[in-house]
Amino acid sequence: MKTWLRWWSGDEPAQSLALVRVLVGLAVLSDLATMAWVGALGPAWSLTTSGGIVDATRKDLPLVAMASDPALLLWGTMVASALAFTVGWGSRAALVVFGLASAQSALHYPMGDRAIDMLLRNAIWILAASGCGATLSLSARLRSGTWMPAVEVPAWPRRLLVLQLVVMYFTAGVQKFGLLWMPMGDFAALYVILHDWGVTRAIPTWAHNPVGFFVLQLGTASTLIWQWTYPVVLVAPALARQPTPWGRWLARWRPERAWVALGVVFHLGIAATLDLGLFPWGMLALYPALWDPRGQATGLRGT
Amino acid sequence: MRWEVVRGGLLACVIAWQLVESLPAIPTISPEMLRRPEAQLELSRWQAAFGQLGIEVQRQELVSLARGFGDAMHRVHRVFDPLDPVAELLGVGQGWGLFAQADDVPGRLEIEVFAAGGASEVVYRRLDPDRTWRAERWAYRRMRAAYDQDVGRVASVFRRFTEVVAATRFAEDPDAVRVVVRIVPTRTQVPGHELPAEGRVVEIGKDRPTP
Repeated sequence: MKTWLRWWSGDEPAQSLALVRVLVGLAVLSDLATMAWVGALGPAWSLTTSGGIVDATRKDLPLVAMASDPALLLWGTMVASALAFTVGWGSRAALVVFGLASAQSALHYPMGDRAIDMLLRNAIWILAASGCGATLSLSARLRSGTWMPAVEVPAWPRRLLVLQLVVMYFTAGVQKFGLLWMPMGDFAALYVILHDWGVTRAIPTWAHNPVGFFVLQLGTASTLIWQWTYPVVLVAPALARQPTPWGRWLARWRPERAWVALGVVFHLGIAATLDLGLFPWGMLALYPALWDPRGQATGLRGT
Repeated sequence: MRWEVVRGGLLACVIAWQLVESLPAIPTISPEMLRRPEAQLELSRWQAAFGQLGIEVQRQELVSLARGFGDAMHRVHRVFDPLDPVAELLGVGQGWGLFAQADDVPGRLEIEVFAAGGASEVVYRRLDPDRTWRAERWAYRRMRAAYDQDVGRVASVFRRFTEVVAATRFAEDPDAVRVVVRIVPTRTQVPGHELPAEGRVVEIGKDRPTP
């Protein structure tokens, strides 16, 4: 009980959470701008009566019920609130508005709401409960005369974000039950995914030989092992506090950093090879949460 | 100290809820689902995998095992059903089955336009550098959701997607009288593996509405 309460207690500098706020904002703004730029706003979020693909929507969604064609209202609300929390002007209120509007867009057109949208909403609610607007924000500039005042905020939201990342990666790993992810399927999953017309950026002809195929087999196995073992990011910093040789070794070498670095490589690799839109950038936007602003370690280190 | 206890308790509840949500939610396995070639291929692969370990398993046993696991997960998920309205309002959840199954019979989107005289032209084909009409729009993730899934399951949204594509083309091209949107299945052969079974072409056509 005491350990549990200690995990969630304490304050820390606000930079990590502020950086997550800014990067999440930039990621969703870029996605919403793309949506408008390629002309997908009306088709994706308008009703069929207005030329879109949403045939029947829910009348109990305020933003949707307010307009005969809800696409522009949903989009405008999300853009305005994302702009506000990205620059850090009324961050908490803006995050709440964005979270509610995004949730309504998900109910309005469920098929278009992808895993990354849900993950970012989870993060948005955590950020809304945090002090992420205390620095690196317009509010801070107006209040203290500087963009980056040295402010301490509760540390628990950042630790909760770390836990969210761990749960996400770990359960994504254990749910990869398709045989092509496994040794019995020759670790061929990435080879097959890169040949999927819907998501690949280019058919990987470079993999149509034993060496190329082996590289992708290695990538498949590494992805699976990395996801299965991602809880290291939580466990290693906790064990590093133990006054044992093992604890001292973990404190000295901080192996969890390798998992974080692999994550960056993994998402940049996805961005380079797969056309998944917001996904890799939305994921990387959450990575500053893995940075303990006291510079001690990543993960759920208590104070 | 009192606030810390309340906060710790609230966080414990939220984390417990979300951890349960993160458990695999396996869809109910229907006889129709089992008849699909990709399901049959996956069952064959599992059978072969068990065979390599010297364990002989019948397909029906594998199906029962998956159903049993799925039912158990559903029972656990139901514990937090009363919180569903909250999850809906906030849009939160923990379903992370990201590429759980790699699709070795992927579909390729194609758009064909017919002119009044009967001539036709494929104006868009995914990743074809010569057929790029509105390529970025159809590839955008929220649009892709309308066709890059199990089209049998999402037939209605695929029909509406076709209507959007056709309306866009008719507005831009006065000669177009019919637009056909199709998903052409391709087969990815993994080196050393058998070629997956052929998929079926799914296509929907839309004629220019008469004025």
